[in-house]
Amino acid sequence: MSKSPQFSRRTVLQGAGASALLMLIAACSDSAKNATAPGSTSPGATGPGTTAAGTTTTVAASAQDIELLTVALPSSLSNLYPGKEAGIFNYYVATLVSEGLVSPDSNGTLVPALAEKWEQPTPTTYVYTLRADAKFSDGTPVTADDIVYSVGLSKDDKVSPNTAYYWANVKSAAKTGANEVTITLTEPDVAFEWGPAASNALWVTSKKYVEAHKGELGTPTSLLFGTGPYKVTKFQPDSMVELERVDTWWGGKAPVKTVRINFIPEETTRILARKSGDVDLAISISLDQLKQWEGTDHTKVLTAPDRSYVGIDFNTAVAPFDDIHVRKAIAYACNRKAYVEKLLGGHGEVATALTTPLQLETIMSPTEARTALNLLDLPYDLDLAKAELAKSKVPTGFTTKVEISSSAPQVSSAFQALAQAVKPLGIIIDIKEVPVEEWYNTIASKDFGLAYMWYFNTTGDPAELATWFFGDGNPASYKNPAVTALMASSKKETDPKKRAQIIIDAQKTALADVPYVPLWWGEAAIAINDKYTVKDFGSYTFLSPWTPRILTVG
Amino acid sequence: MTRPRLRSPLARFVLVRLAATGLLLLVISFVVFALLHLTPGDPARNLLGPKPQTPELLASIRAKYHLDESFFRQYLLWLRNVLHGDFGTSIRSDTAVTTLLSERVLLTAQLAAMAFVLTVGLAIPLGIAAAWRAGSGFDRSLSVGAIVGVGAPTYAVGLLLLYVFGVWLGWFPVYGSGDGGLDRIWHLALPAVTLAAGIGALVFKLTRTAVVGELDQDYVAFAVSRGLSRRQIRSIVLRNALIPITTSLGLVFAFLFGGTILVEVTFALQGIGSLLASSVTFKDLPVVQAITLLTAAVIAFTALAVDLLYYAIDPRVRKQQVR
Repeated sequence: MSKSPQFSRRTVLQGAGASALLMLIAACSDSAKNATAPGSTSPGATGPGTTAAGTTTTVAASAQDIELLTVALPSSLSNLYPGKEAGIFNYYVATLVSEGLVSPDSNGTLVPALAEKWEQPTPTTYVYTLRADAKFSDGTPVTADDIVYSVGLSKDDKVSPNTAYYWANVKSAAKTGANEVTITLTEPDVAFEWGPAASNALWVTSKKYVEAHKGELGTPTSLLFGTGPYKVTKFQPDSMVELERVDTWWGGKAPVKTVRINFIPEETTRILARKSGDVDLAISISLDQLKQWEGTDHTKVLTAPDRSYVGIDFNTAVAPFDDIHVRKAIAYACNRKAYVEKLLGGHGEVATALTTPLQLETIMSPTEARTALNLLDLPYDLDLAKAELAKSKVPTGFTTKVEISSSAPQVSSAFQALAQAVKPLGIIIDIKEVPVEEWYNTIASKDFGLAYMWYFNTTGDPAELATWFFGDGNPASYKNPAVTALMASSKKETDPKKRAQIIIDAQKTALADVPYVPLWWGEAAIAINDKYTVKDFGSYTFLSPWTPRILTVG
Repeated sequence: MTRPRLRSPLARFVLVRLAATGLLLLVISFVVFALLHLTPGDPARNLLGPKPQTPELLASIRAKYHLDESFFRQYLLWLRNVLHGDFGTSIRSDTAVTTLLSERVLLTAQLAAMAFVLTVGLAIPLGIAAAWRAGSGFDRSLSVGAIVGVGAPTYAVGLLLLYVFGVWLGWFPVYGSGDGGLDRIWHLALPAVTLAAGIGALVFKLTRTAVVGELDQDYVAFAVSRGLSRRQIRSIVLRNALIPITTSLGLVFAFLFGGTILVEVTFALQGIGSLLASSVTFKDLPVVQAITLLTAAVIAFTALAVDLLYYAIDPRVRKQQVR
């Protein structure tokens, strides 16, 4: 899942070059604030395995009716249907309006949504029984035909370019009973179970509605239409979306009546909006400005691991990165512990695999997950780096380039540190900050031997990133028959623990060839009006109907 | 059959200008199309973002938006549709460009208009007053203020105003565009002041210079010696000084309309400036084309309006045309 394209604050601020004034404003805002309000403590970094960070407050909180909740997202949405635009924030809005057949709970375990139950009679067949009380927001009942139609929409690469990929292995979706839909796969794939969720690749909508709107969905003239606790009442692309509670949701009445979601790309403006009380909840706040958020009155900051992965990609088809000694030399020069401590301020964890620990925590303890994922034997050691380079085809060094999205300042800093570390070895890395779209074009490009990946896992499936990174068309042009065979067998293994082990083995084998160097697993942070709190804040919080998790303090 | 001839020089002038404007827009559309084509990046990959991309999927997206056609064919397809009134569909949002632009154009136009009213309403009277008292403390302090206004970066002024009036005093909202009517004006007040600050300072200096220049003319000394009243002299001087000021105002409006981007980003306003910025980096061709053409058309028609106004207020121009 990508972060939505955005016009970055940094691109505006760079070149304008009057950061002094910004500092002045920051200083003013610090001196202007009163003593921190009770309850507005920032929990700081969380220990491994803590899914709900920041719930340090002892004040009792309960679900109460909230007339209006104003939310600020850091980037714009231009279409509300995630099949069309699949930034992480598109999902956060869509999960309030639309549902899939299944849904992840706050730990990432799949639970019923529109399907009250489902079973897998054969490795390639999934049978979903629909709940009888499911209705669209206009009161019409959901039929099996609507489900089949919605799967078709999500599978159509013209309507849903962002989700068609997930359905490539689906042979058919058919109505097999009044309240039953059967999905048949071409070949077994255990990870498919995640597909029909609104957090991934299915947003059930009404056939009648979409056909009446000429096949359009998610635009201002054809608003996203679904079965969730809210309906869209107003959508101005790139500006705001307003949701109104409906009484047709099978799950009951949501506690928040109106949710107004504004898109505020400029982080300083977002902080000011929270200060003035215009915004209750700021989602995905910048770790760069965590201190300013924490210093804002009546504001509570919550952080939690977010299943994101950051790491280096070497394109092994591009010289000199076709040489494993070169890749190892750079890997040894990565001081990953320092990146997490210094650049992220501890809001992250040193990554030792592609799979994030949270994706294993549904089947093992956090400690076991970290032990299982400890797959990397590449300590920070410049002597080893030097020795590896000496063994390579370019023993005296080389010059290379890397392009980094301006929306990823921490990645940029990490590469600056890396460039400094390898300079004495004769390796010169030219770093260029570019708009996020330009970064997309460096992934798997033959023009770049050195690139990076910042990936948000959408599912709890431990194979999610590995499937892409070891499959056809992967960013490293990496091919290893042993790894391919392991990944293929993982798709057929239905025992979750055995399957996880196969995926771990595949990563162990592949990472020994160093096509990728995991750097860190990330954390997400939100800031919320201290009148409220978020129950069990974690990486799945906003991926299912989430307003019932907003509790009122006191 | 004789061809109808345009007797009126004014009508001929307008027609020639309109034809030239049409040609200009055509050239601009081609140049922008070509420039965007030359910049690195691939809209199909931008649409997918960092996730697995099969060659088939990329090919399918490219086919949908004709990105697989040759450059000239893409341009001609676009041009043909535009001539039929179809500005196409945004690649990024899959929304008709006209739908996407309608609300944003209104917002940007309102913002530019408010900034324009502020500029004209404050900068010109202050410029005249300063010129009248040239060299006084009043004049000097205004001139220093104008230098600060011209020099201060737009976004810095915006953030400062946001902090002081939005957060500290709490008089104005800190983001968004409001619900129309008075609420819209209230929401656009700080952005309009921000936008007007730099250009207003410029108009102030221009007005002051023009009026001071006129006051130095011999005819003023002559009028004074003939014993004309201050009021009469002021009316003559202002009428003469009006010509350069009017011409500049046309440019001011065009500048305001096309220069809202930094203000829009700072105040989280969704006008055409912020849309243009994100569309350029995304390579969302239909949107970029529509916005650049719209902005160019506004500038061209404003320039035409200014020339007509010039014609109306300066008898010398009228006489030249008739001769």
